[in-house]
Amino acid sequence: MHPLPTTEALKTTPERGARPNLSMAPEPAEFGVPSPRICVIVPAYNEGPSITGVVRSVHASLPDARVLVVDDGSSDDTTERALAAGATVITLPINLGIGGAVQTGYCYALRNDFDVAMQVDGDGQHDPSEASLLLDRLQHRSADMVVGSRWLGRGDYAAPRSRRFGMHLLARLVHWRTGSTFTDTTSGFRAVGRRGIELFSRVYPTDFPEVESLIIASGCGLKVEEVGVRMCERSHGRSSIAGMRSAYYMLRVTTVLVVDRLNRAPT
Amino acid sequence: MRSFGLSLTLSLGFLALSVNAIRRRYLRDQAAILWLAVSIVMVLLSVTLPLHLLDHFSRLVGVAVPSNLILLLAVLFLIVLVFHLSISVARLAEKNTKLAQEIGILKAHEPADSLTSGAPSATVDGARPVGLRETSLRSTDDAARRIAEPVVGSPFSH
Repeated sequence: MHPLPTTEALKTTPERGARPNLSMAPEPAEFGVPSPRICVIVPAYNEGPSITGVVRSVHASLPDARVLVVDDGSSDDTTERALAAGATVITLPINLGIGGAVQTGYCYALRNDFDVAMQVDGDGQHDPSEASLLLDRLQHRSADMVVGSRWLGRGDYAAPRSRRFGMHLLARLVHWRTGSTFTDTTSGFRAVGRRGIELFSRVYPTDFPEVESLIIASGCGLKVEEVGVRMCERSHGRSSIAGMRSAYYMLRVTTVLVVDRLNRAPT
Repeated sequence: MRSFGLSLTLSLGFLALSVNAIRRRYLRDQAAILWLAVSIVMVLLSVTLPLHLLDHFSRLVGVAVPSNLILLLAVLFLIVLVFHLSISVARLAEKNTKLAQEIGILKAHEPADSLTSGAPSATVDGARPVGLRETSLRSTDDAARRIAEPVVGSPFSH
């Protein structure tokens, strides 16, 4: 039922709007250090119980990266805990939703001249020790965007049948729109290079951004790849997409995917 | 003739309402013109009621009951209006998002900051400067530039 390719990564070549790849041109490094500057964006909304662990494990896996927690107007102590754990924290004055929060991170990364921006969810679902898998592919294969997929052979992530069906449907839609196969379109574990940072700080979808941003990136000529990662079950709370919301999610994403076809992403 | 009095009263009342709203600056610009025009049209329709213009016109366009013509036009007008407002709201939401993001970035807390100290967040990172750098303001980032510019050319600078 699922398109589960066994290949390690699915190389995707965007069909339209291809532009020369400018992103990974090596920047003149300050102080002669060639390693890329990495900003790890952690969107968090009321993730107080898990945020400390997430920040610490990102620090442990990527000691040189800046961990940026974007607190999307939480009512709990997410900001305080993230700061105490050693993250840079942006506290949004109002709740913008996941898309607005993540985009804030991309704007910050652009403003502060980071080479790579990586997204890790604040709920502990993603394992930062897998981050190097994404970063390696970004550097050595000159992809512009790498998405961590829970379906590419590694790990043992189990999802309820209904959710699997939804994910399958989305994968088919994305395939139709981009011409490339993605196994895990809803993954929020991803890394982009400079082109991606520039693009997403300008255009980023609001409500359910994961799927749509894949299409925006492909449509703007970015090279998007997937790599298999382990994902854990959530350490607390429940997914923001459950029950009636998942029906709304499917409706909304499908509408966007179909309608967006007429809609040139601004360049 | 009772309907004449009723519609004239209502439309004049609405005219007074919109004039008052404009006078108090509750309505501005386009909205002021729009509602003034709407109330004037309503008054004109009421005043010309005894001339049976509406009956002639609805016979012309093939609407059997004149009041249905009015209802049709009213519904069309309202649909267009709501559509327009919907777009305005989306546009405002986008601007709102930009502002919130900008404020968030400007007030970013560095890990060494204490939230209770009340001190503005400073860059405490040594080798890697944080915060706005001239070179990192890309041409694509209009919002940042628009915010940054007035400071340079503010009346306080001369």
